[in-house]
Amino acid sequence: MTTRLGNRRTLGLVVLVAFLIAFPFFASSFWVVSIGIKTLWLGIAALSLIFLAGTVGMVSLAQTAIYGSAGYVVAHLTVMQGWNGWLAVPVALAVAVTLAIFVALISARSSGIYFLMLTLAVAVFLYFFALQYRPFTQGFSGINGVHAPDLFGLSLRDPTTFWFLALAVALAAYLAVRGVIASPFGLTLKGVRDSAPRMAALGYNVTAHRVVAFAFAGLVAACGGVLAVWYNGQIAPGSIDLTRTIDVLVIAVIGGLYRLEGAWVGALAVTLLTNFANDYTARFNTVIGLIFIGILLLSPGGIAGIWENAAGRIRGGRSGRPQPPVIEGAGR
Amino acid sequence: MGNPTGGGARRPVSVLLAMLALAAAMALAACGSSDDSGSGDEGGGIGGDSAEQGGSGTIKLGLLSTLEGPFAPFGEAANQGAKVALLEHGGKLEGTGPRDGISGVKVGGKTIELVVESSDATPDVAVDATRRLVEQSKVDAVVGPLSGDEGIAIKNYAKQHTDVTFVNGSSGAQNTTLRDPAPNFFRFSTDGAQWMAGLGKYASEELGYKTVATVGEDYSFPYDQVGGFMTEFCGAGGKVPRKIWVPLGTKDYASFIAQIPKDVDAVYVALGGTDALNFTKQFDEFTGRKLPLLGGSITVDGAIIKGLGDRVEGTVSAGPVAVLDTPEYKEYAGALKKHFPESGPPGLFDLSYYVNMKSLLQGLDKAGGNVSGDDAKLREALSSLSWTTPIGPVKLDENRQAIANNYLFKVTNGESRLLDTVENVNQTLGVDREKYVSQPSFDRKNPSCS
Amino acid sequence: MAAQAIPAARRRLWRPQSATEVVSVIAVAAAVAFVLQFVARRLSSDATQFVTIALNGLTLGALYFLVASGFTLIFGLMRVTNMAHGAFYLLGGYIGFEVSDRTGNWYLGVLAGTVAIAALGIGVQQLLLRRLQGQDLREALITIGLAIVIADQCLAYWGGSPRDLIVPTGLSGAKELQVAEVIYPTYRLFVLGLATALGVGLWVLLRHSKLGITIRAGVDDRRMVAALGVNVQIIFAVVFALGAALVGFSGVAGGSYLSLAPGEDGRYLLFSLIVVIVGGMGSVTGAAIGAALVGLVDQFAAVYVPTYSVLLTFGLMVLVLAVRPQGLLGRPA
Repeated sequence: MTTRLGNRRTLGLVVLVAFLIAFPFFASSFWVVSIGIKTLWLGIAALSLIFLAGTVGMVSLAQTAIYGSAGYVVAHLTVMQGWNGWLAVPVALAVAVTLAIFVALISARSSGIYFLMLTLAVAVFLYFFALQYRPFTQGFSGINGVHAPDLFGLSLRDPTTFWFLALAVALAAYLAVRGVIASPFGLTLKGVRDSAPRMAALGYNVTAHRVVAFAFAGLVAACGGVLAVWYNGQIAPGSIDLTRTIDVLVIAVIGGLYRLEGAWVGALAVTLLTNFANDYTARFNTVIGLIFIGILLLSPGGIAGIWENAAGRIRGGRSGRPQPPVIEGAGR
Repeated sequence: MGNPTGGGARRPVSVLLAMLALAAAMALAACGSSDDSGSGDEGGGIGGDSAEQGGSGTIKLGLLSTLEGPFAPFGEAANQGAKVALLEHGGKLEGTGPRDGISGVKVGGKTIELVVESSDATPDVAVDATRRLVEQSKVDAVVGPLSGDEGIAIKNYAKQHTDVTFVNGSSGAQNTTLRDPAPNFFRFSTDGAQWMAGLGKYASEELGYKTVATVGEDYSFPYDQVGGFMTEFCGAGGKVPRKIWVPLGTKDYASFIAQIPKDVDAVYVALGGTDALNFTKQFDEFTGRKLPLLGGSITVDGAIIKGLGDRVEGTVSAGPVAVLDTPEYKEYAGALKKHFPESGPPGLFDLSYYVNMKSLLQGLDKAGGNVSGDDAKLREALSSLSWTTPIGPVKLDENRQAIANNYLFKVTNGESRLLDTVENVNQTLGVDREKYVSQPSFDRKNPSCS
Repeated sequence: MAAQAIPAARRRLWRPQSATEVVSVIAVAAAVAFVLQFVARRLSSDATQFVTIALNGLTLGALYFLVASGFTLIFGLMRVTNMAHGAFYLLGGYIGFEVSDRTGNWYLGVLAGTVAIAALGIGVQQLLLRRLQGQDLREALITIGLAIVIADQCLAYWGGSPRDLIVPTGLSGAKELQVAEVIYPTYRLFVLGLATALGVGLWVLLRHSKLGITIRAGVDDRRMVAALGVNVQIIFAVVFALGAALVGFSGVAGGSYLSLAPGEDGRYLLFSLIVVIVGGMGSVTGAAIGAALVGLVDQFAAVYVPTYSVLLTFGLMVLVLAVRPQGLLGRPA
């Protein structure tokens, strides 16, 4: 039974990979660029959120701001300082990771809802910073005319080339996250997620682990951010406002908050919706909101269930919050 | 326990199947040719396909405005103006909604097909929408966008797609055409600084103001407005000791009003709509209306003048749009009312889109509907086009930017009355072009004359 | 001899636990010193402007307090982070606007906005949140979805143009104050007074009424309260309704001197979060202090550091977090 399942799965994977490789050659550039590439980098951003939510138990709304910061650094360095794109990328990644560490230091001692709120406040703070600090970000108008540099002599303005770059980065991010989860560090993170006091009692520095996890997620998000700014050719505060911040969360939830692949499923769903729902209704935000609520109401315990158990164990009997039934389902 | 790796034998095949199904659906939907035509080399972002050159008897036009978000009413008005221009070439509306198309319109011997797209006043979304127009709907020309910052992003996109012609909607950021213009972006409407032409001189020479404090929101359109005002005012010897920039979205002006120096002659307010309502109300409350106001182009707008009441009596402002006593204006106002009975009186957005769309259509007419060879004939026709619009004559300068009239207004007895006409305002406001362009872009500090 | 007096020599005021704590205390002391000398200088040079701005800050704080008090009550008792709180503000304001516009009566508008949002609150709590009780994260996420839907529907119905409620003539105009020759708008003084009264009322309610005591007990230990025979579900519904009523009311009150427009929902949610983070989750008094601080910092920064005023408000939040993560009057998590 397992072998047949395995064979089917392998076949499925092969077909998927073949499809992804062949995609730019048979699809129109609109589909490759506006749907495909956008899904890829949005998915990377959502992946960072899902990683934090699922493995570490922290739902962060700061991922958009972090990937935006990477985008801004690339934009500023290449457009306003005349740097070569490939030199700007590592600087952008470093800045984003530093920012992530800073955010983590402020918020990693909190958990759950506090953490959500703090990261939201940080995200909006960065939006206002981008809006007001004109010397770096050019304020409301943003930085225009961002050119992606050439990749081994190939122009990244060609949709096919960019597709493969985005695909490679997405794949690398996916494998890296899976690798971290499977590593001893990942196991420790899960321990922290399940019961931080227990891990602390065992001698692990819980805050440090969270900070490192957050930094790693920041790195992943930053990669998405660099792709995003090259995709858009520009970046503005509107790219990291409250709406876009919530968008990444919506994508992660719709895709499935406890599955890494959900990042791209959600990104694709939302990208398709925003591109085509316009033709049917101006109220596509309501549609997205309702789908979001529906999924939250109907989905099995998933991350929330895990988190509740963890939180319940931490608080012991103090708050007296009733324990939700533990929902057993596939994948738990 | 909700293992997010999804790895190993525990991972259900269902997720994989779902992805495959989606992929298959995408493949079916996405099948299309992928010839990369004429990508220019500037502007940033990724290149892509655009329209086939020439040939068929249909010309596809893209109409881009802000139909989403807070600017939606302006987008609606804009689309109405654009459609009035189209309907002057025959045909009829397929509906009165902003996204409805037109049928039976013929220009230059070809049938026009209209594709409507919408943005929400942010550059990202505007570029995405333009991409859909150019790369998916394969339009031959685009009319839009509506807001200033979208305009700059679209200009950069236009540089990458030199085979498509872009005509402005109503966006009024100076740098869309003043610096680093795109050879295929045409703007038949004036920019935010041009909208101030005449006011600075009037304030200094006629009203005798020597010092003025300015209040505006902290982004590019107000920068251009204040910059345009100061170019003339300072040039005439006036001084601006304080420029107050209010963060975007501020509704409480109390602490900003407290910063206005008590000894200035007047306060120039570049706020619009309800911000103007709030500001004037709070200004009165805190200062007892001891200082006269000068208005920006959207401050004493027809839509809110009733709400402003006598707080703005006597205020002088300037802008590109006025109720003129000309046959062109009357004809346009009549047509707007006839096709869109629910619309308000002619205003900035519908008039700008009307002028720009009509210019495009006249260009297409002159070029005989020829959109081959990178629209060469069309662009030639556009560059040399000059005609009398409902708001005065218009022609283009060397950066394909409009030179047109500007109007001064004064609020008298609760009505904004035409005070004076400033003719042939060019983008450099009469200043030597090299000198004008070499100064830094208008922003918080520039220009400065204290 | 169970209780022994500690010899005076061994009593210490403060024993530092870590380097971070030392740094934080020094930072706070420096900040306080800065503020004091700033106040002294401004008072001597331009008292009118200073008092005006201080009043602006307190009035803004009053509005934030009205909004945040509902938020903190709901969280304190039910651990529900109502991310739709800003959307409630906006919707309440719009409903108040609609009613007062049609009837010409501002007070009716206030009533309408308050009652409508209270009803909406109960509806949301019973239909959506009750079945998810205990799952904080899912509840919070659902309220995000709700916020998206409400904001979009408001945009659909009232459009993008900002709306203003018209204040009755008795409350409009300005008053001359005895202090420093300040002329201040009457309505703002009204809001300030109203918020103070409501704050005191809430405090009395929580401290001295049976409902209040039950609520506070529930915040401390919900299971015990239930075990004592109190119908916790009804208390939840009442508190959610109360919180929603407060924010609906503030929507109308705020919309009367600051317009209602798309985007205001995000702004008020954000400031509720900041106020509550600074003041401490679950504490109404904390919300009052937090709101006053945030309002004052916001207004003074707007004058003296206009470009970066918002950043300073956030800086306040970060400072508080660094020194006291649970907020000024919050309980340690």
